Amino acid sequence: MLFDFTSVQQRIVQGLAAKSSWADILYYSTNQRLIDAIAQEISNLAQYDEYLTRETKWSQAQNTSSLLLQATLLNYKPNRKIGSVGTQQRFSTSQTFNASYSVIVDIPKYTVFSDGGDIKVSTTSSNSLLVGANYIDLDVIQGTPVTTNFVVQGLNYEEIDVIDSTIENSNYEVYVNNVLWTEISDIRLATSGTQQVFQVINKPDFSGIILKFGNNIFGQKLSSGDAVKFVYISTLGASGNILASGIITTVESTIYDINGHTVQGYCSNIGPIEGGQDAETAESIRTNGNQAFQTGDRATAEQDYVYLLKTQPIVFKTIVWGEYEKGLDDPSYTPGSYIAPSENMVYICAIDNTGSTISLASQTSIRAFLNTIKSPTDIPSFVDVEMIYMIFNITAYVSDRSYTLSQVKSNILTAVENQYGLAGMDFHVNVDYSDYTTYIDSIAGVDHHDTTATLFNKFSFQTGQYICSFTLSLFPFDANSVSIWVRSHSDTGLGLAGWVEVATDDGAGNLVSVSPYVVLNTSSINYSTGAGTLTLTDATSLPHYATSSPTDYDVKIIYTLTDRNFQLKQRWQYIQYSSEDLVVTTQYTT
Amino acid sequence: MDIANSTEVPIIYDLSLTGGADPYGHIKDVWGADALNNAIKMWIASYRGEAIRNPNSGGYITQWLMKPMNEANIPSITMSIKDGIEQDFSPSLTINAVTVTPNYVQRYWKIYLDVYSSDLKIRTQVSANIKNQV
Repeated sequence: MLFDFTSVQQRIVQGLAAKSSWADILYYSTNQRLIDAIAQEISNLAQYDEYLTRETKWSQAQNTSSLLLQATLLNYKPNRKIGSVGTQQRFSTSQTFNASYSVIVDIPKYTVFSDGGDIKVSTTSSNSLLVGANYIDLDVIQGTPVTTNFVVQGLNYEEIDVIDSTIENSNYEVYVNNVLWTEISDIRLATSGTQQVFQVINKPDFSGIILKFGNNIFGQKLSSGDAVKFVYISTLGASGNILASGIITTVESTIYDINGHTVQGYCSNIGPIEGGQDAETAESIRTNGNQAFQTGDRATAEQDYVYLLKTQPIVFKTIVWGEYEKGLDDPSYTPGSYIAPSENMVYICAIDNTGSTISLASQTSIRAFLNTIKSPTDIPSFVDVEMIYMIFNITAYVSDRSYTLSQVKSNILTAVENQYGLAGMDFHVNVDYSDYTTYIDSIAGVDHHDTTATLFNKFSFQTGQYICSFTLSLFPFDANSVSIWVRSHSDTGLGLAGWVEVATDDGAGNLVSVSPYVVLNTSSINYSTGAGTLTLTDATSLPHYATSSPTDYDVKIIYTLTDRNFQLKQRWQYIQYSSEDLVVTTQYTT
Repeated sequence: MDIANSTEVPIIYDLSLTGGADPYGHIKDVWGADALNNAIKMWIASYRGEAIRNPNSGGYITQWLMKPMNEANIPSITMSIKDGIEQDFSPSLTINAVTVTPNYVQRYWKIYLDVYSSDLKIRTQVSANIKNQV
């Protein structure tokens, strides 16, 4: 049965015509107008009913609000805006970051720095710049702290609306009468009536949140007149990502030393502040909600582990594998055969949003989380990430003169970041020559291009000795393509300029000195296996040598792979481009 | 009912355009020639777009009511009536006579129509006064 206007109208007329008293009506008639009006309303009603029915279906709903309301049933909580984070917001009382202050300087949580404009970042913990330290690197999140206060009525399950679409997804605190309360995923999961807990519910259109409190059975009930303070980070989300260093250079907050005197401070972000996201889109909720439902809050399959690990705020990217995948990686493996050291092992490699393996403390916390949801026989084992960096050298030719060269360069920088940056890549994802050349060719403004890509791995010297034993991630690689560079941790802010070249290969597998540095003549590299050793017998010319130890330096080994395709050999390997080393040249075609 | 192909003469019926009730409290209704008369009056007073799902019907006369009254508009309104009756009405009507007379003092148009429907076998004369708006 159809409920469009014409069908309804015809059915009304047919229904009336079936009565013996019926007489025809003209189009321009009062009766026809009434029938039309009724048919129109019935048609509208049917349309609205269809719309509402569709919105109740997970696979068909078009509105984010419909999916948000249904997501609870799938045990999924869509994210609001997520603030970008960085770990290298450098602060100093010296404009050049090379002098210390006479007394300790306090840098409290929520200290704000900015680019002098709209992009502000806040510290996520309290820190101190100690006497003798030239600077301190702070953890920051993009956004500014906001405090809102409420006086409550003391109702059962009292709810407080906080209307602000910029509330950061996970950085907030709730104080009741100045006592910090704890968040719980659902207030009905509170185990007692005295538990000081609250629940955060997203508003259906992400316009804000609702804070929900208990009823003295499920969580402590608020009393009439209680003062509730909600402190949160107001973030820009995706538009607050800062990919370049040296952008956040303004200290917005007033800084004091421990004697209460105002301190003139200077700051700069020496690394990117990234990972910011906007509130989830309808399609993202639809996909992730299904995953949450399939996982069912239990880690059994590999995909369950991946999904559940990603729900942990610290985990940016992760890969999980076990006996089956380990067997797949071994050409001699017979499916189903026993692999002694891998039985029941669940290998996990997880990185944070700076690309580092998550800390031991985070691993411990995740292990505790997994213990409640994994199979009793599963043995989670964390594996460190092996990060491989690509150095792109791109010369792009522009034929369309409506593009400026700087525009095209900017397009290339953005496109490379999106595709080959930490966020764009993932574990165990290869980079093929044809892929990146085609991708760069498709960037707006690029007519054609010459692009080369080399690789490097980072290592460290041994404690107390300028000896570095290494195995490069990918091999074989070309003879005469190896160069070894060293940079002091103090010179991280200098970027590419901080590196000094100390050795190269001679084409026969020996590492040879680059003056003024002296390499022990047994230093070598194996082009087929990537293994090698570098021993610096004279490192005195290294920057900051007098005040540094060998572990205060990074060692970068650059090499050109024989194969133009970068095929990863291990599941814990992760390849990304190095923004510091990216060289982009643009010129018009002649 | 498909009036054009019907061999019977249909009876037409409507509720009175002016509303009201008969002495028994029933809504006042009209039949035959009165019903056709009723429909033509509705058509004369209609505005373009007011018919549901039929935005191009009606409004043939009311479009002239926003213009100053003058002799030059008389043939235009007359042509509009002839055109509109032909375009809008089903079953079709044959126009026997149409006159448009302005009353400049009281600012209205007096419209007289004499029409015949061969399908309905009804002839009717309609006389309507319609106020000019400017």
